[in-house]
Amino acid sequence: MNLFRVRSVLTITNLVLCVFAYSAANGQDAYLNKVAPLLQRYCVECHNDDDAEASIALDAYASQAEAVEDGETWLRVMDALESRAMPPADRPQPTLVELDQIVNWIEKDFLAAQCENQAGTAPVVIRRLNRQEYDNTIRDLLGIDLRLSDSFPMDEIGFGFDNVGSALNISPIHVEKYLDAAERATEAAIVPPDSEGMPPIELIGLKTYPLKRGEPVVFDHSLKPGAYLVDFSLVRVGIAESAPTPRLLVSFGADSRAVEASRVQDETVVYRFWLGVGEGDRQVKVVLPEQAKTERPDAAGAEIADNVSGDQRYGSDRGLHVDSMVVRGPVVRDPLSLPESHRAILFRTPGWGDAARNAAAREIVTRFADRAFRRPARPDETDRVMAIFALAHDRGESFERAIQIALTTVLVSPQFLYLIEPEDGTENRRLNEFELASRLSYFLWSSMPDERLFAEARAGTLRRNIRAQVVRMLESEKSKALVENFAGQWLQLRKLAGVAPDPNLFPQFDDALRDAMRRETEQYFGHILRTNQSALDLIDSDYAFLNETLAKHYGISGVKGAEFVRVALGDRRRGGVLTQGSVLTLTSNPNRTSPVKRGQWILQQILGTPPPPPPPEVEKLDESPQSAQAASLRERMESHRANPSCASCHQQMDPLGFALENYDPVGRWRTSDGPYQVDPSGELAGGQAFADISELKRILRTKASKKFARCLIENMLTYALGRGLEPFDYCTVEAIRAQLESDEFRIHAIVFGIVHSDAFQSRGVAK
Amino acid sequence: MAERLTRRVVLRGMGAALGLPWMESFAGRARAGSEAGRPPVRMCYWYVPNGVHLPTWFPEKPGPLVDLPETLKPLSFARGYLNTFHGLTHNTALTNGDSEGCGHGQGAASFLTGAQAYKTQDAVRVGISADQLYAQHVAGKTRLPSLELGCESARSGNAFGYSGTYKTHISWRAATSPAPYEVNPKIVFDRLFTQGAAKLTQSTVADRDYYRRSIIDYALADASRVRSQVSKADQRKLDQYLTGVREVERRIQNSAKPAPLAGTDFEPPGSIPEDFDEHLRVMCDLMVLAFQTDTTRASSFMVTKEATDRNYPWLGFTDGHHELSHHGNEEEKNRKIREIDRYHISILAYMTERMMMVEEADGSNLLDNSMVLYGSGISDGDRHDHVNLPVIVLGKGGGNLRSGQHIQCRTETPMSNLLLSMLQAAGVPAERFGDSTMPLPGLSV
Repeated sequence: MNLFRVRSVLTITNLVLCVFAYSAANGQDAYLNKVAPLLQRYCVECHNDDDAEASIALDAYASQAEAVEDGETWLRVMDALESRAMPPADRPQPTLVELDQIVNWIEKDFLAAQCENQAGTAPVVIRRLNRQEYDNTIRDLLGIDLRLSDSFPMDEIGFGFDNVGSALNISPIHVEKYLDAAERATEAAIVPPDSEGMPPIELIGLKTYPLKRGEPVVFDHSLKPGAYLVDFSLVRVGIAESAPTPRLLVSFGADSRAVEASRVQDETVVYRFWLGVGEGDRQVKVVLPEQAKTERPDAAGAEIADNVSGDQRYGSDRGLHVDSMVVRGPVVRDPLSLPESHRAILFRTPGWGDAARNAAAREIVTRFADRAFRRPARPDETDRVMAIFALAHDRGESFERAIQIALTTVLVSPQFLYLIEPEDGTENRRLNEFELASRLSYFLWSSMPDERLFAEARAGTLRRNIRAQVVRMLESEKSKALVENFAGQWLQLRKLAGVAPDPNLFPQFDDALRDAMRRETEQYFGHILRTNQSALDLIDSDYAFLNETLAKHYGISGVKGAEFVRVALGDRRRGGVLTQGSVLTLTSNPNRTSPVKRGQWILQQILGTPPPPPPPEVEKLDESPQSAQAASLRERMESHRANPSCASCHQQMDPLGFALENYDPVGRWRTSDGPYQVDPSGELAGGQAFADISELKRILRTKASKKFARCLIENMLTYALGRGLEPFDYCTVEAIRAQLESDEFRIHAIVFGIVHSDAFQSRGVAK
Repeated sequence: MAERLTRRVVLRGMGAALGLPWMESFAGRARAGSEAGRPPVRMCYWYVPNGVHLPTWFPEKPGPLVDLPETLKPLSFARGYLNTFHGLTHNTALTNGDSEGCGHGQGAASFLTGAQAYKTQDAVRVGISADQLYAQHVAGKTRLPSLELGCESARSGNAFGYSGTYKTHISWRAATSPAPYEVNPKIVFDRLFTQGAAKLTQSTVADRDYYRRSIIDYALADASRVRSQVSKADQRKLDQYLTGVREVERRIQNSAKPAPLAGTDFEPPGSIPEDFDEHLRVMCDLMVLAFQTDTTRASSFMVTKEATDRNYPWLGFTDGHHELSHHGNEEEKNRKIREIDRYHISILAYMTERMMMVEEADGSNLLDNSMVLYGSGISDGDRHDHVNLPVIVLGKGGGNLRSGQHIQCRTETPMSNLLLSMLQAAGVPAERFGDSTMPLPGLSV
């Protein structure tokens, strides 16, 4: 194509756009009318196209249409404005009305446009089970809790959570561990018969029988009923060692099976297999079946070799000879003596014979694969697993052991290890019911769906009944996974395992206290979740869950025992996660508190506006105990804030952190830090003053409820979907937030909002 | 301190095996194959986080190493094996226009890759690391292609827009495939020497491997089928699975037996020791043992994760490492940082000493045939910079490396030049590595 023509077409398009923008400016363009002038006045000096600080340029949009097309910028602008991080303190500040004008535009016009533009949802990258999910799934699949993932590598974290598909990788070491874990799991769940230690019984004695095609060798036995491990050898006279070994049919009476040789040693072919003896069985029968025409000729047609070993018993009698048969048994097992996992998985007991074993195995494998793949296994899939069963069974393995090996295969399949949502076209699609069941169960339980969910999915009624199922799932004990894995990561409780307060300063900090701290927050969050309390209780409330260890630590009397009980609080020193030992400890240094870390924690985890990293080569705010003295501290803060690049963040972080100075590095209440009196009062960016933590919590609960709700919803949505949020997901977030507010912040509104959302119920396609 | 010492003595006594005895009884001969009559070259890469105290790190002048600077003093006995460098830089660790990255993740990610960490919270991307490139070069010659070790849980959150994975991985099998490290000595030992068959009840190893081959065939076929039904992004993830399965398959087919440890009184280590010092030393022992038995030729060791705030109470203070590294030039903090640096170096010295005690088939010692790179991806912890990186190399690389010298590099020489030179000395036919511009002069013989 002619380059010049392309360019002229473009120019004309630009012209048209400019004209359009111009007329819009004179008309109804809200952006140009209400927002752009304010940006021009307060922001553009630093954030312009030539010098885009923080990669934000606010002079780049010629119209509302252009402005809303930029999905990256506006939410950051809103965060910066709402938290008063911007404009920097030494620059002219917008009035509250002006601030609202911008924020309103972002919330209404920008977000609305996102929702219109993006009917679709972002794709979730295939998720491998993380460590918790693997353990829980094995637990629910096999019925035994094995914690096999302890040896797996740590899971990668994306967007704060370890269940984000795009962040989770598999390395060869994972595969090695999966294989190992699968073997261990099936070995623990299924107990094959074992004749170890039983004395050998020789059935033939010194006699030998020639074995000819189609002419069964028959001799008597007097074995008691039960299962026997049989070692049986054939001697090949005048047949090369390399000749293929024959497949035999062996029977003790009612039971019979076909077996392949397990090894060849010189002229002896050894068969080792399990075989049953029924009531009244008296006869051993060994058959070398007639060979099908198409089969590769084995012993009979094989090349002739010298009988090198010179076993005199056979002379020159070329061919196969039944030589010895040693059995160990009987293994008789009371089904009730077998572990429940065994009985549940092997829910069919086969009758005698290969056909019966095969049929039972197929039922067992099918049911297991259905559950392991979290959807009905297709017949061809079952066939492939059955091929592994047949391979093991042909080698003489017991029925149970062959099942064990087949199910091990299922557990290393990518269909088990990953949550797979196939992409069958270029359009977003609704999840099918089984996929939806998995999303639900991994969200609320970090595990596979249970039978009730599968039943709904099979009946096609899950989507319709989703609300009832969610209620049931939250009531289930398994929902503690949501507490541990969601709250544990959102509130960073998992960090608690790695903190190491100075043992000289805090000798009382031991593992019991560490554990109690974590459990307090889990109990607290779990209570709010299960009994559908206000999410705002997470910020502030008049109750706590304590056991004796922790109550003592907090200086609260009247709590006895290791169990956690609900305690009504007289004041607001505790109540809410901000003032729980867990959070206060995990945001401290080993030997002192860190108001900066605590402030940062509140900004990031509670208000959802993480501060950027400190600019390089800026002197850090000294937090040493000496300077924590009120006067010097304020001086230092002032001097620190004199540097505008520090001020915008520190004036957010510091007051929050200093309000928590009434708690020592392990979360105990204090009124002084060494010789210095604690001054917890402060002023939030924006001018709101508070005297102490009680007041601060009240302010946060009332004035920051919107930011907090948004933060909590964003985090839970990320966790529920297993992917990072895209700008257009904020429509979902805002819709859920509206629901939450209209339901007095009761936390179920978030869970329901999420599971009902398109983002949760459909699979998006990467555009 | 006294209590600690006692504990340490007890631990070492109990695991006498871990220290000298097995070396003495087994040191006799390293098992290493004799390609062209020479022991193979082993490559080992150490990482320490948060930078170091620079003023006591660099020797004063270039040339032969005589008096080592204070921090490196514990290595004095191995001076002749040591090379120190000044002027090495990882430009790829710089934020390069990104005003938000904090430098910790980028420093660790670029350290052995010479590549820039892609800014992402999830889909990480850097480049292949030097240890993994060497592992590929010698693939198939040893039972395990490589060993990745660490002494601190790899759990790490994202920071400032960068995935925490960058802070916990220095080994990268490919740009998008981090190789996680193992922290549990028992698991490392089992992997190296027992084929994981320590507790087999159902079948012998041969029997198990027979079925494993079938299971793996199934897994490969299954993954290929799934692959055709999923999105492009999903396929990339499944490819990681396929690669992993194929590698396990190779290992089983290879069915190289673990090196015999019979005749030694080496006791398998237990799980993670409570004592961190013991943990570090056991990991050193395992690396030496793996090299000595030629079970692997490439190893990486992330002492602790980048930006860790772990503390070292036995040094007499409980401040976190990261907190201290923001020293603000306070003498007290600098002193503590120095002590931590020197402590880490003393652990390196421990391994160095053991490597020198292992005699190879041709009479040389293990360190003669190794290259051990040690360093941090951050220079000064307070500034988070990546120029004049604290990096040293021990070993003679099978006689291919000159040693015993302090090399003054031209300002801002890419550290990738050093990584390249080491790879070349180890026989890897690479002409470039990461952002290298040329091999580092003065290093190869």
